[in-house]
Amino acid sequence: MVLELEVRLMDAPGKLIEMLEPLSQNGANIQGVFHMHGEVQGDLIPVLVTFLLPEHHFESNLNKIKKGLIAKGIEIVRLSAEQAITISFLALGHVFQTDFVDTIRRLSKPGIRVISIEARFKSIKDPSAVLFSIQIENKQKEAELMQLIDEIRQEKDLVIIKG
Amino acid sequence: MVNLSLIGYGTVGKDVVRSVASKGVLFGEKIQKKLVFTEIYENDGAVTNPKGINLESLVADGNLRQHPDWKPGIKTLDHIVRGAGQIIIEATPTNPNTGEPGLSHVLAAIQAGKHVVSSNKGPFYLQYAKILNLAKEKKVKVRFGATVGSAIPILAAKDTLAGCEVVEIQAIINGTSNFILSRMTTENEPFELALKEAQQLGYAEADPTLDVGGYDAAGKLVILANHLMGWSKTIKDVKIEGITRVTSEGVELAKKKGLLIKQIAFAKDGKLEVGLRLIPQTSPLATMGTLNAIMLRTDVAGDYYFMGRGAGGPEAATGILSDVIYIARDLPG
Ligand SMILES: NC(=O)c1ccc[n+]([C@@H]2O[C@H](COP(=O)([O-])OP(=O)(O)OC[C@H]3O[C@@H](n4cnc5c(N)ncnc54)[C@H](OP(=O)(O)O)[C@@H]3O)[C@@H](O)[C@H]2O)c1
Repeated sequence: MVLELEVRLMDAPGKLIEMLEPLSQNGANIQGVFHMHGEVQGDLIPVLVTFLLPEHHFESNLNKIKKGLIAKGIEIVRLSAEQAITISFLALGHVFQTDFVDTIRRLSKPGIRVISIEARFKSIKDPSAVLFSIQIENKQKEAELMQLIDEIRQEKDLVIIKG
Repeated sequence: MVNLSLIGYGTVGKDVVRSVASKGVLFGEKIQKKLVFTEIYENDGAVTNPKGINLESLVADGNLRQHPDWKPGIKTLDHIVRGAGQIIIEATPTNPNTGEPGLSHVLAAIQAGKHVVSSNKGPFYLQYAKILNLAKEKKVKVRFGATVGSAIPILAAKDTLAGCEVVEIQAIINGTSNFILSRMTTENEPFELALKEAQQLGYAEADPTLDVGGYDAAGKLVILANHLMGWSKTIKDVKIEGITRVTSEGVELAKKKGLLIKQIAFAKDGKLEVGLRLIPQTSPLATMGTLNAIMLRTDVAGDYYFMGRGAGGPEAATGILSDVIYIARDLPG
């Protein structure tokens, strides 16, 4: 998941490297660092860092990052995840007869997860209708999800109706 | 006086004639000119009179072949050029692969320096650029408002929204498919039953493939995108998905979530698609029955919605006559 961290740093050599240490030591992949020079307050410069934190040990790594920053006396102004997006689509056809577990597994990728399913069917052997709700961690994941859905649609001969 | 030639005396053609017969005076007041028919062509002959066809008997019994000016054996394509019509109205059915016979009629009329009004969409989703380029060269007007949404003034939006750019189109433009999906939603009917009902009510053809397969909507989408966004696409550029595999279970599940399954035609970022979508029941596009709804998204002025009855004889005739009046206004006489 992509996160945004805003801190205030002393305008002195080495301060930036020192601030980034708890991030890089706890699995974060730094994507961007922006000094907001226009908004200097006294001798403190606001700095915005965007970084990717993998889902594996996400919570504990995030805690360690927070603790590490506090231990260095760095003030955290803001730490937020990008808004996750929920995408729904309806699948019609033999959704259960075409290895349903495989479908779910293929729709579960880093940053993409199935959060709910709801189904209608006469009997398990008949064509069914299944409404999938899928959470993606950011807008960039949408194209990847659409590609996954399209592969499954073709392979399992389903009708996919997007929201 | 402005001379009109009508090609195709079917559902739409008959309503065009009826409308001119009953409202001719009103139309005349709008443009300070009288509209008269000099030719009405059918498959096997034509009624012709260079001084103006008497419409009374036609309105009374609708039978072209009993008219005193009926001439059997006249071939439309041969006669268009020498006919007295200044505006040629094309209202024949189309071959979806060739656009014929309408395509040849339209091109011949333009070539002969005549203006054209069409409710027949085939020539336009197959050869839009060719027709309009020729019209430009020959300095004649070609209007085809009735091809998309009948009388809904959607193609006229090119002029009425000229102050902004259309960047995206979303449209429900096949009344038959919308009717079927609506019945499946409100009456919980399976697809086959809803289709049969559409056929019984005259909304669907005996062979409904063009409608339920999405081909009709795709043709109209091409015309919309070419006309309103300046594209040069043909129906071969459209990704098409029909409604035949929509099930009652799917419709029911969507409904429970406040959603509707709709066949929507999209044009955006150079891509054209007719496909199924889930839309909220509260969406302005959530029209039911045979109604059409079209959304134009503009670069600076937000979204605009156009809605109305997209098919039917009087509706298509109204679309045709609006275009005829538009052209006739600038003609001498
Ligand atoms: N009906 C609507 O609600 C509607 C709405 C918008 C647009 N349109 C379009 O408008 C056009 C006409 O529709 P419609 O419903 O009126 O069709 P229709 O009832 O089938 O009438 C078409 C007429 O054209 C005649 N025709 C065929 N080939 C001809 C030729 N070469 N020369 C002269 N006449 C010829 C047919 O004669 P035969 O029967 O003897 O072949 C028939 O009488 C179609 O392209 C349609 O897609 C229709």
